[in-house]
Amino acid sequence: MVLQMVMQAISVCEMQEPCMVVELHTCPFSCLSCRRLEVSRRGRFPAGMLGAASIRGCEPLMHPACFRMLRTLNGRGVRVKLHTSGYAPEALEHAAEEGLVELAELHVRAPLDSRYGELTGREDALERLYQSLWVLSAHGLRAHLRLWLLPPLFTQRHAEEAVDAIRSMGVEVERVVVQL
Amino acid sequence: MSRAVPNAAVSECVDAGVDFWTAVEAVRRLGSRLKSCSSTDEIREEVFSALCELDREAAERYRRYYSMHVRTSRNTIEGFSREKIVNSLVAETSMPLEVAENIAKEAEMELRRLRLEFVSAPLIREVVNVKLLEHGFEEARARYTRLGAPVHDVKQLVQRSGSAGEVHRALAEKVLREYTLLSVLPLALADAHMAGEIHIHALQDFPLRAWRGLADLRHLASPESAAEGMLEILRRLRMAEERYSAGICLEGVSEFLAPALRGSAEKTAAMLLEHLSVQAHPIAMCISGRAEGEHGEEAVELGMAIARRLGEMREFGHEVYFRLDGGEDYLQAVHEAAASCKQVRLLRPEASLLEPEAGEGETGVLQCVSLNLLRGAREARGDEGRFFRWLEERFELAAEVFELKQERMVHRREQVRWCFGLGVAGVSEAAGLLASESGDELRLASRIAGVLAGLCRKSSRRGREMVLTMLGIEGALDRFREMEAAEEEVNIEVESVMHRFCSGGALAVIPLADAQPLPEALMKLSERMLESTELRAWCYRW
Repeated sequence: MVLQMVMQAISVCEMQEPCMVVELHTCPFSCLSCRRLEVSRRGRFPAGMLGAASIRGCEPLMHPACFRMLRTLNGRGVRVKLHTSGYAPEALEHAAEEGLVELAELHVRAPLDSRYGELTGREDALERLYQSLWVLSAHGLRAHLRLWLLPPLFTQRHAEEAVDAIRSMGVEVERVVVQL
Repeated sequence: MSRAVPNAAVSECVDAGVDFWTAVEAVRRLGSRLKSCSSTDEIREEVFSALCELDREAAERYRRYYSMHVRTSRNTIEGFSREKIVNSLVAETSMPLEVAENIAKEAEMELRRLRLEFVSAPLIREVVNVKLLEHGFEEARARYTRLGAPVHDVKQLVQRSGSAGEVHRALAEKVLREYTLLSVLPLALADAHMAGEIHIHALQDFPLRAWRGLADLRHLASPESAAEGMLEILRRLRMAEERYSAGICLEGVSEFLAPALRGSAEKTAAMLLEHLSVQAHPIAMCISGRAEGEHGEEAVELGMAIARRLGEMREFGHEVYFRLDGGEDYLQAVHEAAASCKQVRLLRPEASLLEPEAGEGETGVLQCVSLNLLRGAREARGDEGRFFRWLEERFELAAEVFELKQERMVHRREQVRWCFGLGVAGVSEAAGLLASESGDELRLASRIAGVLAGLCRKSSRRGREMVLTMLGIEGALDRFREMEAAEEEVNIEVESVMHRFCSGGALAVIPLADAQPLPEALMKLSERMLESTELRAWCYRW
């Protein structure tokens, strides 16, 4: 597991307003499609300048500082978008119950079948992803989907099937991004 | 030995290790044949033949000794001559003749020991330099050494470079940089630069040109036509190329061209950017969005056309500063350009790039020296007093560099208001490091800015105008970060504090996490930047 706080920058595309980006890099996977870049930039911005935050990293919910940060941001009235691999459903539920997250971006890295465990290096990855999807659905959390294609193992067709399956679970998918 | 003198022929034999009596006998046997020889090579051939008859081993020794040739820097092949080494040593290092003869003799022995048929001029210099160092003539070695580039570096440059001009420029700059460090700057200043405590900008131009300048085109007479205006801009650029190493910033480009537009803003913008994009020397343009004066509307229209054109070009080789002082349409066009072209910079409405402005003339920064604040913070180990002592000592080094540059450039007669730039590099990192426990980075940044601004004012009162700057120092900052193995850190609040004091201009780089930012979203961010910070200028990097 990689444990590293990588970067703070600004994103003007993640939400409807400029938001700060914090990378809490904790990754439980060893994906074949992983293209994590080593970024060594760090920006710090005046308090109150940015009213929204995007928490990134493969699975930021597994970072020990994540909840402390989410609560601080929540206390300051900062809207939070959380990127998740779906591997930490318990933590996601916890965050949703506390109302710490406004929007979640779920990263899907393989077809939603037996290959999911193989391609991510975690046997229980698919099961936990489904649990996370149930959390999103049950709490009515808005979701963005980002699908990391890895042809021919994970193709556009697989991605479309995955999106359909996720929508059929009652998850409110607002945006889908397919990434090669 | 250009004339056939028997004594000289004997001396040559002895120099080559031939026994004196054998040499005398050989030369005696040659008799009048020696006088009919027309060149040194012919004489040596005759002597060699005579020696062969007397002593084969002596003849071989003689042949080997005089078969060493030099490939000279003039691309010729000549016989080896110790005398030439002696002459060059005396001329280039001013050392006494006797010492030079001794050094040359030792160098020659060393070279002959290698039994080479050909030696090159650089090899001779290298061997002579080793001998100089062996005898403790370090200063003479610095003056006698050769500047240049390793074959491997040149090969890489030739293979990777896109154009011949680029290779020529890179090699010339490398040689001139070495020359400045070795011959122009005192050892202490060169060492401070190389150790990364300070960064002397544009070393290659230190003995030749000033650093950068600013010209306000609004003070010029209006051109009759857009073409005439363009010619005037190009004439200014040509002059700037001679004068400035890091280029010139042209303020008021759109206002200057506006009276000659006659409804062809798009065409003029396209022509202007096309002309500028082929200029290799750096240029920056400053565009305003405020409609002022008789041709204010046309100027804004041209500014917007430039922004739109930049948005389409995506890649432009020069910086374009847009002052955020226009209406909604202008700001929209500017942010479309900013979302597409990475050379777009945004300038606070009331900010200028360099103060004091020179009015009708030009303002020029004769030299810029950046201080590595991160190094200072690291060496201080949390001790503020120590940090500020370090800062003042490095300021003194920068002041010495400025004095040297002023002496070099004193003959210049341009109508330019000159000042010196003190670059502040790594302030975010330094403040973060020094205030890691207390967390009062802003107080510390204010103190750093106050101390440096105070030192600059003091220098200005003494007649050497000095300004703080955070503009055009990216190269220094990158070098410092690399040397310190430090991550890039931008603390906007800390930089804001510094920008207030940077009358020599300042630019902050705002890191974006997006692959392709949207113009509307960037515009929102710029609004926040104007509201929440005091940055003079910034650009977005994604």
